[in-house]
Amino acid sequence: MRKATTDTLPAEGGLGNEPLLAVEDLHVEFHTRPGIVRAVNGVSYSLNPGETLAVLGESGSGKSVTAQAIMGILDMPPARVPKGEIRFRGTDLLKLSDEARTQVRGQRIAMIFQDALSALNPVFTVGWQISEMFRVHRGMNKRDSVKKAIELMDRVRIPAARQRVNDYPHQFSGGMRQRIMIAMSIALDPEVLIADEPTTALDVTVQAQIMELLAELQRESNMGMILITHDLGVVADVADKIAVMYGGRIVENAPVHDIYASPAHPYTKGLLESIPRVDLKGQDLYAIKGLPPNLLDMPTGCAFHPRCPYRQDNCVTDTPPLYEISGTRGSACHYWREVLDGDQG
Amino acid sequence: MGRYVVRRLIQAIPVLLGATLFIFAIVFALPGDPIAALAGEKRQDPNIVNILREQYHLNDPLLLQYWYYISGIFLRGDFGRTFAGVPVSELMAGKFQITLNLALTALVLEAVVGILLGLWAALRRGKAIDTIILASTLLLISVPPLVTGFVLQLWLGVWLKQQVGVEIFPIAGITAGFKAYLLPGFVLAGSSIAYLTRLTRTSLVETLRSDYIRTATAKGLSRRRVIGRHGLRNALIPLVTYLGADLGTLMGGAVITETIFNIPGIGLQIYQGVYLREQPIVVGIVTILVLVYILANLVVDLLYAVLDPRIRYE
Amino acid sequence: MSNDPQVGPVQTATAPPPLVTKPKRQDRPASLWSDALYDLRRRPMFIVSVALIAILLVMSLWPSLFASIDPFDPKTCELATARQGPSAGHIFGRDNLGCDVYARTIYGARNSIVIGITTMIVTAVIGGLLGLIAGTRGGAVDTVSSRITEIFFAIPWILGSLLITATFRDADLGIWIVVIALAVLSWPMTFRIMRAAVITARSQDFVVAARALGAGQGRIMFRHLLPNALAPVIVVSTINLGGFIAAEAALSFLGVGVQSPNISWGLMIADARNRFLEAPLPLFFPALFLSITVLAFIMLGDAVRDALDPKLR
Repeated sequence: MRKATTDTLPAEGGLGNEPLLAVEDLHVEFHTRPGIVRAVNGVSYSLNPGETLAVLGESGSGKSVTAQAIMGILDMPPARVPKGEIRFRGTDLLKLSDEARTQVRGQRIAMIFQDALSALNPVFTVGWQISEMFRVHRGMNKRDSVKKAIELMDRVRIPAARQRVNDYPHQFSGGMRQRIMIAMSIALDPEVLIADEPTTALDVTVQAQIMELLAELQRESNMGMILITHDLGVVADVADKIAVMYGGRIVENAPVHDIYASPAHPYTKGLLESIPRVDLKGQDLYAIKGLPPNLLDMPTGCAFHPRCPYRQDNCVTDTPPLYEISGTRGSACHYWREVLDGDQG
Repeated sequence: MGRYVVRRLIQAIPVLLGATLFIFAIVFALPGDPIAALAGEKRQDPNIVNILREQYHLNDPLLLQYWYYISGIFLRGDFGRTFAGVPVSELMAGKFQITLNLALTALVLEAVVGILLGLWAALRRGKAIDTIILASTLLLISVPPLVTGFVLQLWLGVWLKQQVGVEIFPIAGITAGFKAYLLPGFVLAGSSIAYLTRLTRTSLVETLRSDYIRTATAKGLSRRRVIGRHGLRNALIPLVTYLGADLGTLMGGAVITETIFNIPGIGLQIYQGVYLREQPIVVGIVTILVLVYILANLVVDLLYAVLDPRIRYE
Repeated sequence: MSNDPQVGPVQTATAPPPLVTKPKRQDRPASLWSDALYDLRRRPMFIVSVALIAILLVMSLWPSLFASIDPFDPKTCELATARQGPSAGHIFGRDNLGCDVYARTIYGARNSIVIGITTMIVTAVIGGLLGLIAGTRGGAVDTVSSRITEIFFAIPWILGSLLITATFRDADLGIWIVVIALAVLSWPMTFRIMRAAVITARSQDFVVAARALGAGQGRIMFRHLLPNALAPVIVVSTINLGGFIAAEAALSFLGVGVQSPNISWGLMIADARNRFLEAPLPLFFPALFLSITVLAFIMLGDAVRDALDPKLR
C-alpha cells in the first residue's frame, strides 16, 4: 500500500495540458474467501471539461469498480489498489490523505447511482438530504440550505418543488427520485459527474428524459461526465467518446461516431449487432455466444477469446495490448484490422 | 397516521381478551375450593358458603365469570377482591410501582450497555474486541438470572462490602432506595443486554451495507457523520422495537429476581399468591402484565411509525 | 440488481462476487446440510459444545459412572455434617441436610436434560406442524392461527408456566407438568419461524413449478416446503433448548417444578439459598453445572445457526 499521502488539494482554474481527470493503468482487486478477484486490470481513460465519456460493458466488466475507485468509495479491505493512478487536475487522488479525499468527494467529483430508491436515505426528507450538502460543505444554516434545495429541485424540474421538499423518497416516482439524486449530486457544481447506470432502473420513456436532463445540466456547467452503462442505445446521443470494457480491461476506446460506424474489436462489434434495428426487421437478432468470464478464473491470453469469432491460436496465449489505431482510437485485439474491414463475424 | 393508530388499537383487543381468558381459564381449573381454604380447619355453615360462592360468582359458568371479571376491570378498574376481602387493585398499587421501577432500571441498563456494546462491536467488526463482546453475550445469555443473582449478591454485595467497608450494592429489599435496584436490575436485564448487543451489532452492520450509506459517503460526508447520522438513524429502528417489547418481558421475569433479592413487588406477590391459592391476586397480576405488554407493544408500533416514514404514510 | 462486484463502502470480505460460479456446489438442499456439516466441524465452538453435551448425556443416562454415592439413599446424608466444606469423599462438600453435593449435582443433570429435550421435541413438532400448515394453506387458517400465537406472546413466559405448573401441582404429573407448561407457552415461537420460512419457500420458483405440475398439497408441504423451512426451525429449537433448561431450574427454584425428593439443580439452589452467605458451595455447584449446560446448548445453537445461515451473523 501507498503510505505517502498528501493534503494538497487539486488546484482549481486552468488545466494546461492535463485532462480534467485521468485514470492511468488502474488495478483493483478484491480479497475474497475463494481467492483474489482482479476486477480492474490496467484501465486508463481520460476526461476533459464538458466532455462525456461513456464506459460500456456487461456486468463484471469492472466499469463500476473503476468509477468507485475514482470516487474513493471502495471498502478497503476487501478492495485493494495495487497499481495505478487517478489524476484529478494533475493530482493523484490515490495519494491524497483521507481528509483531502473527503474534500474532493461530493464537492468536486460527484456520483449518481442506479437505484435511487435504495440510494436515498429512507428516513430523511429529500429536502434534508439535498440541503445537507450546503449545511455540511458550505456551512449554511437550515433555512438558506433548504431554499437552495428547492432551487435545485426546480432546476431538475421536479414539479411543485416547494411543496414536496419535505416529502420522503418513497413518496416519489422512480424518475422523480432519480432527479432528486441528480439534484443532490450537482448541488455544489462538481467538475466531474459520474453516473452509474442512471437510467437502468427506469421506464424507457423516463430514461430519455433523465438523459436529456443530464446532458442539459452538463451543457450549463461544463462539467465532465462519466456515463457508465451496459446499454449502447443510451450512449449514442449523449457521449463524446466511448470506452468499452471487458474482463476488467478496456478493449476498445474511440470517439462515439467511429465506434458506431466501424467497431475495431469483436466484442464491440457483437454488442452493436445485438441491438435491435428497425431496418433489419424480421432477421434473427445477433447474440454474443458464451458467458462473461469468471473473474476468479480468467481465460488466458485475450479474455474474450472463448467467445470470439475472430480467434486465432495466439489469442489463447498472448494478451493483446491496446493497439493504437489512430490518435483517438485504440483496440485490444490482435486482429483489429480484420474486424475493422468486416471480415467474418 | 390516525388510521394506523386506530387499526393497531383494534388489533390489540382480541389479543387482550384471548390472553386474559386463557389465564382465567387456567386459574379457574385450580383444584381445591378457595372458600373451604378460607375457613381452614373449621366446619362451615353451608349457607354462608353458598352466599360467598354467589358473591364471587363461583357458581356461574366459566365464560360468564370471565365476563364479570373483565368488564369489572375495564368499566370500574375493579380487579376483584382477595378472599380476605381486600381489593386486589389496592394490594397491587404500591407493588406494581416497585416492579415497574425494577423493570425500568433493567431497561435503562439494557439500552445503555446493550447499544454501546453493540455499536462498539459493529464498528470493530472482525477485530479482537468484537470477538470478546460476542463471547460475553454468549455467557450473558447462558447464565440464568438464578445464577447471576446469587453470584452477584455474594460478590458485589457481600465481598465488595467487606473490601471497601461500605455497602455499595444492597442485596435485599428496597429500603436503600434507588441503589437497591441496581443489582437486581442488572440481573433482570442479563440476557436482554446480550440480545440487544447482538441486535445492535447486526442492525448497524446491515445498515452500513446499504446503498444510501454509499451515497452518504459519496456526498463527501465524514465517516463520523455517515455512521452517526445516516447509519444510526436507520439502525436504531429495530432496537426501539426490541426495547419496547422487552418491558413486558422484564416485568414478567421479575418474579425470579424479586424472589432472590426479596423485593416486595408484584413478582414476589404472585409467587405468594400461587402458594396461597389466591386466584384473584394471581389473575389480577398476570392480567395487568398482559396489559403492560400490549400497551408497550402499541407504543412501540407508534414509535416505529414516527421513526420510519415508510410506515407512517402507508 | 446489477451483477457487478459493486462494493459499497462497507462490504463483507466474505461475499463472493456474484459472477464467480461456485465450483462443484449446487443449490440442492442436501448440499446445504453437507456444507453446514463441513463448516461446523471446523468451528471450535461447535466441537466444545458437542463434547460438553456428550458428557452431559452420559451423565444423565448413567450418573453412577460419575458418582459412587447414591443421593437417593437417605443413609448417605448425615445432618451432623451439614454444610461441611469439601473433603476426600465429598469433593463439593455437603448441603444443608448433610447430603453429598457432588452426587446430587451429577444426578441433577438427568431432569434438566430430559425436560429440556422433551420440551424441545414437543415444541418443535407442534409448533412446526401448525406453522407448516398455516404457511402452506394461508387464508383463514393462517390468520386464525397467527392471531392465536399473538395471544400466547402476550403472556409473560415465566408467569404463564408458573400458573400452569402451580394449577396442576396436585395432579401428580411429576416432571411432565414442567414439560407441558413450557411447551404450551413456547410452541408459538417455533410456529412463527416455521410459518415465515414456509411462506418464503412457497413463492420460490421450484414450488410454484411443482404446483403448476399438479403436485398435491401434502406432497408440496412435505417434499418441497418442509425441507426448505427446516433449517431455521432447527436453529431456533436448539437455542430454545438452553432456555428450557434454564426455565426448568427457575420453576423448580420457585417450588413449582421438579419436586423433592427428586433432584434438580433449581431445587438444590432453592434449598441452599437460605444459608448460602455462610455456605455458598451447595448453591455454587448446581449453579455452575446449570450454567455450563445452558451454555453448551446455546453455543451449539449459535454454531448451527452460523453454519446454516451465515447471513444471520
